Amino acid sequence: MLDSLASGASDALSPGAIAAVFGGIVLGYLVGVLPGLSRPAALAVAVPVTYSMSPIAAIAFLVGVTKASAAGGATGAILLNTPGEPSSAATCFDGYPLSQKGEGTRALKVALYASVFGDLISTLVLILLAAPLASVALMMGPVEMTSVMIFALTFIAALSGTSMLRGLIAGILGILLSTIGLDPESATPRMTFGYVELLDGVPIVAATVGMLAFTEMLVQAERYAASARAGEPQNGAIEETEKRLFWADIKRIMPTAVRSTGVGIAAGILPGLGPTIGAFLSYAIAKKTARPGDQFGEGDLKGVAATEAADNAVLPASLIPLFAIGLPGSVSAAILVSAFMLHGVVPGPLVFQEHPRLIYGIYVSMIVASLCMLLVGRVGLTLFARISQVPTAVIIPFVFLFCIIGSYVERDTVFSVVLMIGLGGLGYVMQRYGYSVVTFLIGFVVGPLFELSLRQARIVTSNDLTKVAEHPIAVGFLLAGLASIYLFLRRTEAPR
Amino acid sequence: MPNSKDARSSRRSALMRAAIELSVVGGACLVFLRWIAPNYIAAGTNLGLPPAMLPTSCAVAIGLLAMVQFGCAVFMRDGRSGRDEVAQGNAAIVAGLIAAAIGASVLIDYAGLVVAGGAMTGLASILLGQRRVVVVAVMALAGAGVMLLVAWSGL
Repeated sequence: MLDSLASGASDALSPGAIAAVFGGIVLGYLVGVLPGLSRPAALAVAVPVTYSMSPIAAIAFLVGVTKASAAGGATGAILLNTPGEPSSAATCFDGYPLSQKGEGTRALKVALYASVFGDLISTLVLILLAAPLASVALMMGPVEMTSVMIFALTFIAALSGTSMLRGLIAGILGILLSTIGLDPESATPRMTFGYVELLDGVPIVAATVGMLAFTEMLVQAERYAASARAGEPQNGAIEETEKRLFWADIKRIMPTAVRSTGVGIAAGILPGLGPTIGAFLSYAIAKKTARPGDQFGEGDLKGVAATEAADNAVLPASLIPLFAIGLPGSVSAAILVSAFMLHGVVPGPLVFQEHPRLIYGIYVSMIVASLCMLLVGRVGLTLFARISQVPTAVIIPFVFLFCIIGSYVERDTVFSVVLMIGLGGLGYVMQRYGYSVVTFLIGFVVGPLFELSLRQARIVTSNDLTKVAEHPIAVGFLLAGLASIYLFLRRTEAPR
Repeated sequence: MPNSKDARSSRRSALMRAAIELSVVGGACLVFLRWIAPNYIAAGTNLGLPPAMLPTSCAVAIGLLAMVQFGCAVFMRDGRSGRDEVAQGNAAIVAGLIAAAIGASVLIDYAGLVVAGGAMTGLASILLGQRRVVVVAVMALAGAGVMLLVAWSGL
């Protein structure tokens, strides 16, 4: 093993491999910053670029793209409330308020450090525990996944703001909208109204950009117009009140980052959950376990750390079932399979025997990628932070433009843009009348996987609910879901 | 007793808002159940769950929750049914910006990305109260420039 590790490390630390990682990181960061260019799409485009590279350089390049796009997605979420990636949407909840309070640089720093932390720890877990953890992933069948989803959905209550009922309505509306498109079992169209574009469902970028960025810009425009009427100064540029990150801040967010990394690793190991659900779930858990003085939703560094650590922990963890049993844990991991096969490597249990040098080389490349991400992110951060100095009158029109670009680029059709605008209008109305757009998005993201697992679980249990008792992991998650509802109701009943 | 009169008036308007909310949300659910689900969800095969099962369940659940929400507004006087105040908005600027965004997206198909980008940033600037032609022109050119970059990069 040591021989393989040494030769793998020498491959990974060669100038060519390091240059490939660095190139991948820069490309990934750009993809992450721009809304609409999703991580899987960037990976799919990047795979053919690696034809002429050596296997280690190729995989290192793609790993760099994936890791950095996850980290870069936070930039737009924090500074403009426009998530670069759907998985960064949850970062908007606290990142953007922080930026509005003049702490954009601090939020960007926390996002970067939490990303690198989550990524590094998850990579170490991958290196040390790939085989034993993969066997745990194998134990998660449809019944267990359904119970995980129900458990995740109960967290909607934790995020529903002032009215639990309106929060639940918003969450269920999100699930309802996620059912648009082809039925997962019979492939018959549902609510497509004859539009071919809706057969694939409502695009996730259109939903997240519309509900978060477009809605927020409508609200900002209203505020701007109101302040103009009141004769207030019109510059609107946000002065940074504090840029430094203190040791006390790091100590405060550390437990959240550790817990969220664990959530991200779990979301990566379980096939299908992916980074978006991982980040939302992690935020919900962090909010639910908030301590007195925490200000989740109003601009708390913990909220940024929770989502970014989890988001970045997903990819390395999703390689665990890929390397150990040949099962990709996320869409990005699935695309990486094609890159492996392109270079003559078939991921699975035999890969450690057949290509030990390559696997250890990839491990070392992943650590190099984390360090490169820290370097590129830290240099880029100073440039990105200047966005908050741009006047509101310039920011608003350009964010509207980015919303249009983002939703257009995802599917290359104006239909997505119109959907984004429609959802933005809906989000505006929902926000005005106290319906949480956050819970709507959680329902929307979780919806398709929930429906699929529910259908599979129904087949597995032959429609007999009592058979769920034969699945102890599922029972555990269902009990945890019930406990979270009970805790929420108790909190609601308690005098404020 | 002006205070109790104010309270009664405030409660009446809160109940009115709750009734309007129920009629909008509940009405939307009824439209879904009576018109959208039967007409726009195909019956599917006889295998597994019917395609309409989850959407219909969601609509029913939303309708029931809206009724519970209304019930809370009627029977609870301590405001535990949630925030009912509606922030003052500026319908004209919101409608204008939505119309500008729709116009720009339509322009993508007819005049291309560059023109659409210029139109979006220029119109949004005007709607935000910018009246200096030079500033509006610079914003429109910058928007067109961003779109030119997008088109050039082949994204």
